Amino acid sequence: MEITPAHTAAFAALSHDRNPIHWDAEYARRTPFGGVVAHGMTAVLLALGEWAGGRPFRLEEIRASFVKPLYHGVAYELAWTERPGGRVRLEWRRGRAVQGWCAFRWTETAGTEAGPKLSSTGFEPRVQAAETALADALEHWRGGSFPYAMAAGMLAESLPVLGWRPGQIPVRQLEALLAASYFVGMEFPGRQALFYGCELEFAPETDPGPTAGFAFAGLDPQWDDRMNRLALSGVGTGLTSFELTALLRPAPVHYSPAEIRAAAGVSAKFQDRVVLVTGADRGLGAVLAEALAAQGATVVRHGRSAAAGVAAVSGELTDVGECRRMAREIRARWGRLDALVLNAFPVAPGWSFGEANSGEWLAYLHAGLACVAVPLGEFLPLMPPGGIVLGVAARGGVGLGAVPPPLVAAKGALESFLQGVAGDHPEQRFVVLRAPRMLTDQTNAAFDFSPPVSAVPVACRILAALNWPGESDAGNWSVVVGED
Amino acid sequence: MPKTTEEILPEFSKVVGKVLEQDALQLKYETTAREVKDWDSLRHIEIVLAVEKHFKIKFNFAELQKFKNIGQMCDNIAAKLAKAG
Repeated sequence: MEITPAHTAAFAALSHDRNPIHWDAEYARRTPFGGVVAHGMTAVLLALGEWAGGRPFRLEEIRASFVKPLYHGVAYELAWTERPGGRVRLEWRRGRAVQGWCAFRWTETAGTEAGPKLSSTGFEPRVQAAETALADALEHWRGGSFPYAMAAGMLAESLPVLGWRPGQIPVRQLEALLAASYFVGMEFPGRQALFYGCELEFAPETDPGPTAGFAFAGLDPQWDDRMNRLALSGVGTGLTSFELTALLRPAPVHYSPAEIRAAAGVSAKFQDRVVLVTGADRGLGAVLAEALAAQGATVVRHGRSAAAGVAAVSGELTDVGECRRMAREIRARWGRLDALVLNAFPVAPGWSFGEANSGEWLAYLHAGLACVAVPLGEFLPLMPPGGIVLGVAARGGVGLGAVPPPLVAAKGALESFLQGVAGDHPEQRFVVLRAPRMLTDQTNAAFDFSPPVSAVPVACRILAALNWPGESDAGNWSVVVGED
Repeated sequence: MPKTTEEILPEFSKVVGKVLEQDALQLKYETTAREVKDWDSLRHIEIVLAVEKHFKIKFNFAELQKFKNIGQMCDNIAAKLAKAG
């Protein structure tokens, strides 16, 4: 089972669920997912459609859990088990790891070949996901109802894309599934929602009729502020009960310049020094750039988009031609580099060994190492003897709250790579910082068993490790641990 | 009668095993979440909620951040049950 952008587009068109996590690459990049993810309910529909194989049926009840984010272009293995009484469990897996599942009870029906005709209910979907303050939203929805209508005009076009034919399932049941996705993603908790699971129990009576509008009613939102978790239950059209669970993701991480300067202090340690920081748009790179500037450095910020008026270069680090162009630009504008901080690194995938195949692991290792090796190859000639090259590696560890295994592997490769280069370049000093798991857009989850640490003290550690010749006894290769 | 940590452990294991779909899961006092397959942050939420429901208790935020292993969680449950009488 592979989810394609066409599936996502068809689902969005039919459900009106246009949460930016599903289409806005720039927005999605600043989430722990690192990029756009598919709607969980798209996986449910695709899996149900594949299981049904064109059979018409109605659901008695359905439960679904969206365990892991689903990405376009990944081949998920779909497996199912059937038990007596029309009980089925569908699972989509990557390697041996379950990424999501739905369990349901069904009965066969005659279906309606042509599909139902629906009249307009006057429902006007949101164009953008709600960003209502949680307290206001809780008050607004408690005891209330939520009328909804799918884009009935899109049924004939969208359903076949998702592997269904119109009339294969009672239309209100389909609408309930779509409403769940729309409500969580667009209304409540809205833009920062992470839809986690749903439970729908359908009324024994079949279709309430084509003209009746769909609604969730008797809404009872339960908010758990310990885990930023919302459980929303009630009844609905054709539903004896429902429960939706969602997490509220925090806003993107922002470290304030005042906070950074207060921690790093202000000095002239880097006066007249030109320092390039890769990946200085956000996270540790942005903190470090600010901290270095406070020590008098001329900081050249490398990022995806160079802001006007700031000393910055922009380009793809894994591309030799782009790095060469940036090197020419640096030479022309600043003449040289005194220090190079190799901070940028690809977002760590959420999979483990066995979940992704060896080819995917090797591709990630390659991408990670390229982010360091390619710029180093082009920027090292800009550095007069006595410069500093700093690489950001990672502390190891396993399991919950630890650095993800692919990142540990790639950062280990980075560390060894720089040690190798240090042997070849005794005229420069090479420092590797083994950073702890820091709070960045990648680790900024709704709930974390062991929360990541602030990037500010880690940046201070890096500052302390950047010593010019004569300031430290360390040789040209050293490893620093970024936390006590 | 209040339960001891030793009495709570097997019950606790059962609840966690149900969430993680590992029927034979047997947790020890020293076991940490890191050592249990599939116990990630999202599953942790489910586990905490299931444990709270099963034992009819509630952990506060500070407690949730402090538990270093399964045993400490069970100690806390035992204390809560004793207090509730």
